[in-house]
Amino acid sequence: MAIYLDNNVGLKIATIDLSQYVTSITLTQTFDEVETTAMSTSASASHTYAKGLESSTLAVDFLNDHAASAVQATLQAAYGTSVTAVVIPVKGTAVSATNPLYTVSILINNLTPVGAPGTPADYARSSMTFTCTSSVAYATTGSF
Amino acid sequence: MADQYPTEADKEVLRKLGLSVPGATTTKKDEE
Repeated sequence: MAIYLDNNVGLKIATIDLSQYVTSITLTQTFDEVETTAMSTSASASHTYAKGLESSTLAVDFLNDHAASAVQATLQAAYGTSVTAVVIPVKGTAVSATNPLYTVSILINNLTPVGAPGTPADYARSSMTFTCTSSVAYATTGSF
Repeated sequence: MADQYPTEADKEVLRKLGLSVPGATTTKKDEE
């Protein structure tokens, strides 16, 4: 797979495919930088850091839908818990080294079921950033 | 992700939504 249009990202939350409601998704993998600078470091040296705990985030913009098992019902059912999110760059294409699968636990710690953007001319949307409560698992085999 | 997927929390979401839960078995008592 070469470069690709960013219009077919797949997202499942708690095994439920919510891809059709996603208008934007960003998985940010990051970890804490723990300072390891010690005594006896020369004046010309810099601070030193090492990898700490992972603290990734998953930001998603949804089109709101309050139908059964749709986006709002799913998120409300998961509210306050850590559930599994599965993300694939190109849904409908097999998982491979060129279309890897990302799996992570996310804490459903915020919802905006009503409000954003809140203008009469727009479809109702939700924009949320979830804190990851596990490291992000990267797989080149398996299925979405 | 050390936990098996779907996790118990995932399954609880499915139960709340009234959807079938992977690995769930139906007992005779459930059917009554």
